[in-house]
Amino acid sequence: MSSPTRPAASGASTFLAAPSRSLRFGRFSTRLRPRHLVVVAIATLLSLAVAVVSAGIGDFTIAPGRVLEVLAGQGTRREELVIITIRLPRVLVALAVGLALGISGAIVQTTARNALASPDLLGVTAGASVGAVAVIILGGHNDGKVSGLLQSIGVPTGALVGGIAASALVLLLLRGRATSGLQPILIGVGVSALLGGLVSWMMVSASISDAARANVWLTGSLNGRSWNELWALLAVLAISVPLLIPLASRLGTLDLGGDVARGLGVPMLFTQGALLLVAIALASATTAAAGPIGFVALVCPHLARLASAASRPPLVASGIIGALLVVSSDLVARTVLAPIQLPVGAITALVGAPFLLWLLIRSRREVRR
Amino acid sequence: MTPSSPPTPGPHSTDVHESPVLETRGLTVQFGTTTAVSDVTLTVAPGSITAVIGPNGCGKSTLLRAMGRLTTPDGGTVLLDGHSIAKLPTREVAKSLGILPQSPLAPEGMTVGDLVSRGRDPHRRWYDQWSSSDETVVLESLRRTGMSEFADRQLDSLSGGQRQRAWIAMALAQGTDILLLDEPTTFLDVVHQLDVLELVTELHREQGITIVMVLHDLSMAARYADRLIAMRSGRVIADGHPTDVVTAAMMETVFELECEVLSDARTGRPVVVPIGRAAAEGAR
Repeated sequence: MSSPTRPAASGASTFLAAPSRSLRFGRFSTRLRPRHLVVVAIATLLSLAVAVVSAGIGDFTIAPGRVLEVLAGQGTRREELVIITIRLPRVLVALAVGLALGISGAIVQTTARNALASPDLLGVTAGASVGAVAVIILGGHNDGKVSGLLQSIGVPTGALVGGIAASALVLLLLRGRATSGLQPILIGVGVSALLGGLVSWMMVSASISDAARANVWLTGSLNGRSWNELWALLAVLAISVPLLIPLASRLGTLDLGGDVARGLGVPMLFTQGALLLVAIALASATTAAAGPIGFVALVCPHLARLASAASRPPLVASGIIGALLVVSSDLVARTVLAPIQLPVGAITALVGAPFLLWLLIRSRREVRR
Repeated sequence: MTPSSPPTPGPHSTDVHESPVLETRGLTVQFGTTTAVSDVTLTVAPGSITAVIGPNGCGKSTLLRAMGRLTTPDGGTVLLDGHSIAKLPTREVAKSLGILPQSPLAPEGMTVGDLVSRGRDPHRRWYDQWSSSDETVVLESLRRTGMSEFADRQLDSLSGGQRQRAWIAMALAQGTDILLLDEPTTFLDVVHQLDVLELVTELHREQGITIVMVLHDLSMAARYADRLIAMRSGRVIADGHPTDVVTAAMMETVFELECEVLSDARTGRPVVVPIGRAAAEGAR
């Protein structure tokens, strides 16, 4: 029996009718929040529009309408080379990176019950930086002792291994302890600071050109990204997102705090562990593809929560808003000082840092209230 | 040493409609080197309403949390219908036992309706998030707790008493036979304390829910509970009907409180009138 919407509520209580509706297909049912759907729809349309515009802009500018025609297979060989071979993978990588970072950030903020938490605090970024910078600097030139092996590993793999190793260390230190409150954040800050020191040490001992390359990577950049990076990212997304579908329904309960969630029958260790692992996988994959792009994972969940008027960041909206933010920032980074291409992380930081300050000031005011 | 507790019933009733029995056997909880709960054995009879009392730090809250599997005991077991609660799947436990921790905090911006809906969690699968029976239970829980008109309001905008009613509505929506409440009246003024305890006893009376609650107000505990468990330093000192437990001598032993115990003419329950600290020699 399928009744698409619930019958009208009787009496004064209409809360289930107004902010949410349920949808049922046989044994499957879900609750829909119209405002969340509107936010997702608008953000999706905007992301795609920016992606099309971005694919058309550059040394050889093509109007958005013509971009769509080229994508439909009606372009000249030259247009196809510019759009499909050069610009499209970069734009799609931007969308995928933003999607993964937004979802990852929303998971970490809800699981840690901390509005200022982000996957960075799990050591992902710092570990990936150590891995990538080690490959760039120690494996960069012919003088290196370890160059052969490190060069064959490649920067993305170095970042991936470093990110996963560092977050494993953080999870190990967190083991058996409360995942809410100040302690996990302090552990994350401590591990990140330690690894940051390692990065600085490698940078100081590197040649100027290696240090410059490492610095571009450390800011987070989409320059020259190709289909290979995209396939790797899509593979991680294709594994992570299905895992999230059963876990996502527990996020709202986790948000009530550990004691209440346990009382409601949520197996905490398994649920939190699985959610954090997915968040780490998503964040590590983006760092491997594009370097540590700052603030997206922190800011997008807040934007999604505020836009959807929800009590916790909705996963889908956080992801789509992440995609919109990264693809827009990349467009700006590529064009504002053309022909110089800024790293996309510089733009997200310029947008994200003021927002972070605003959040801090706002939360301090709430504490005082 | 464990005081005499009601005799442990034999193999429990096979009647499926009977509420489950909650028992502790030699329950011990330690925090580092301090023992919060020491060798407590007791049985909570189905359909009873019990209050655990005792001075701050006596282990009453820890006992309740261990009974609700929020704290893992260092010794002994908690049995739900004869099965160790630690070995049962936590979701199964959540279908027959609800626990409301002390002053829980809802996320900013959450509405009462959303909070109460969360109570249905143990009954739904990830692929089946909302059914009309969930909805019926949630609306009924809101109605019973007098929160229907506040369903769309955010918890932050409510008074302390209303907020506590909303949390109780969530626990009610969980539809359990046993409900453990950790200091449900903390931070409430006397009118709202009465209000919340009236609600709890009403739910107990009308739906036969077994209640175990930690309370700090002796007269309130004596008025609303059928059974009082008095604790001191992790041990149960007295256990029985309020008129037997709340005596001047017992209050001196448990709380080091010198007091006069009167009898409330309307309820027949004891009322504690504090005089001063009992330990001081020259108090009189």
